[in-house]
Amino acid sequence: MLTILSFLFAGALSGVIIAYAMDMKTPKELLQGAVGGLIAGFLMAMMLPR
Amino acid sequence: MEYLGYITLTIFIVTMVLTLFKKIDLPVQTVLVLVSIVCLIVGAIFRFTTEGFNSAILLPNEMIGGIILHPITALLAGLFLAGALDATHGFDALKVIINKLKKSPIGLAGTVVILINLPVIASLPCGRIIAAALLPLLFSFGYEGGMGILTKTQLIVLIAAFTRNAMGSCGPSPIGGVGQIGEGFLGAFFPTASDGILRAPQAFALIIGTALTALFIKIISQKLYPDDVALSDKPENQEEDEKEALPEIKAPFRGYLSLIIFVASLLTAIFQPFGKAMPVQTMLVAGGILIILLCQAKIQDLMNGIILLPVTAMASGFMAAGALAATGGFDALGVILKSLSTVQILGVAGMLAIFVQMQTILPLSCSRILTAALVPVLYLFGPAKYNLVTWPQLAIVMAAYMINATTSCGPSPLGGGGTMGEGQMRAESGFIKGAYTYSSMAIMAPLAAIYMKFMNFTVFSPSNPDFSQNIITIILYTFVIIAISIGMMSLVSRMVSNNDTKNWRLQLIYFLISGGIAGAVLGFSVYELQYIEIVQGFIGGVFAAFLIGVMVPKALSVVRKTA
Repeated sequence: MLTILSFLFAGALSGVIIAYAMDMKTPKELLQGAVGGLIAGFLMAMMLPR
Repeated sequence: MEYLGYITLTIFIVTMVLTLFKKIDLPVQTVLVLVSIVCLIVGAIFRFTTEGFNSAILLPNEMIGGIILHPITALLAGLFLAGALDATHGFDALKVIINKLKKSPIGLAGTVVILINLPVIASLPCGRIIAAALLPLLFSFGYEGGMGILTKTQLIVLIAAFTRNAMGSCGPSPIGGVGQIGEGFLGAFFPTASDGILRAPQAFALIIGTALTALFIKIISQKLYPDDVALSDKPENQEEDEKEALPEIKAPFRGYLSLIIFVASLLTAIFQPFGKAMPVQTMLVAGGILIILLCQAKIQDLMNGIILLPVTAMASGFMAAGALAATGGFDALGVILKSLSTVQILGVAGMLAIFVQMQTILPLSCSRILTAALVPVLYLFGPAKYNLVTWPQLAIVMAAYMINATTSCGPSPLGGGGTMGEGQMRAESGFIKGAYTYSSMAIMAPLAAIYMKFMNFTVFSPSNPDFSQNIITIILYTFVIIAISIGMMSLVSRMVSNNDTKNWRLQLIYFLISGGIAGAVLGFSVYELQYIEIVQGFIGGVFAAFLIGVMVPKALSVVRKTA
């Protein structure tokens, strides 16, 4: 569970940074980036050994 | 025998450096095979004169004994399955899904974030596979690609970040990934290490490192090399309806079916529901056969998917490693590095901080080459021989080393994977070098070490009371590392001027400080709050960062003229 949480955190943070780096700086776009990152982080975590 | 080791080690290092600087104009695999042959001949002569004919004749056997077949066959099986996916339009099905995702509530921002991280999610054994399939799709997001939904700057960041993620995804791949080379060695202490003890630290470091790469490209690389990307923006006076209409992305049914079989094979290979009796390779080949039967792929299509570069890189790397092992080259390297650790200013912590950055210092076209050669040396630092570190400490260093190694093909000038991204964004060679080496050195290596220490041990050694998971520490350290990086990045960005030399020096100072911090974090991860070791790690990190930073080009047009 903590592994998944750590990847959700990393994914969301990474998503916000990527969205910002791509000039998508409105609150809505940053939130969308975070959600995209959450999905990516979750999928990565699910593929890991537990 | 001792002298022989130093001789063969010198031959290996000198030829690798000459190849990196393009003084030897041959593919690196060819160079490695030649190095192996030369080492064998030198070794045979040496042994014949000192130990007699019988000892000399055993040398080739000892070299071949060093070749580990499991990662090579897993890599071949992974490429075989990816070839099947490609041939049956599985990647087209993926493109359709991405297109639909763009119109969903997560919008363009969420879609590009998923897209950028797709290589690590897909876990293919070589990032070049997914990069070759999806880079043209990314290019189509720009004005020249037809869709025109991203500006030039956005497209550069997207392509660079995606390629960064791809050229590191081979590390945590469970199907012939680079990390498996290190996991085998850690199996001596962690019985289930081969299930993927190095995967989570690498994936965690990659997801953050990719984001920081995007930011570096946006606020530093584009300022340092403003005229070196030939992509164009949509002209301001162009009407919206003048935009070229792209044909709708479609995929046949067999594309979706092959994608489903691919994902199912991947999941079965990762989670092994049939137990250890069914190896990864069997599941992947079975997936390939299913695709042949159900999706009408030909054997030829599947064979076409096999990219020879990573396979030959791994095989030649193992050959060179075998030759070095048989002639005592690794023992010599171990002795040299061990003596380096006796220098008080460096100590073991400083030496390890340099060692983990070794492959970013010497970036070759495929990380497997040096990983096959250097992981056995790292292993010797542990309880198996020199006893410089304990098993858990070795695992921490191995995690940092592995992510640094596996991402090193990205910035390699020897046909590294990053050149695919540079080509797609029409950038001069070397555009991504600073961003890629920075993220490997300053972000990914320390994060992988921290993750291994505070999150991963309990998964592989749940009954050991010394290990526990501490997510708060992980979050805290990730924030601190990111905050320091972004703070310094924005400072450097503001200080960039029109003077190339001044900019380069500024970037080098940035690298030195970041490398030092990375070394200190590694020192902390390995030795906890022992201040001397943390300082030694900092000094080792500065030394490694210097070797990495001086290789970042000052100006790309100069590189082009002199190349």
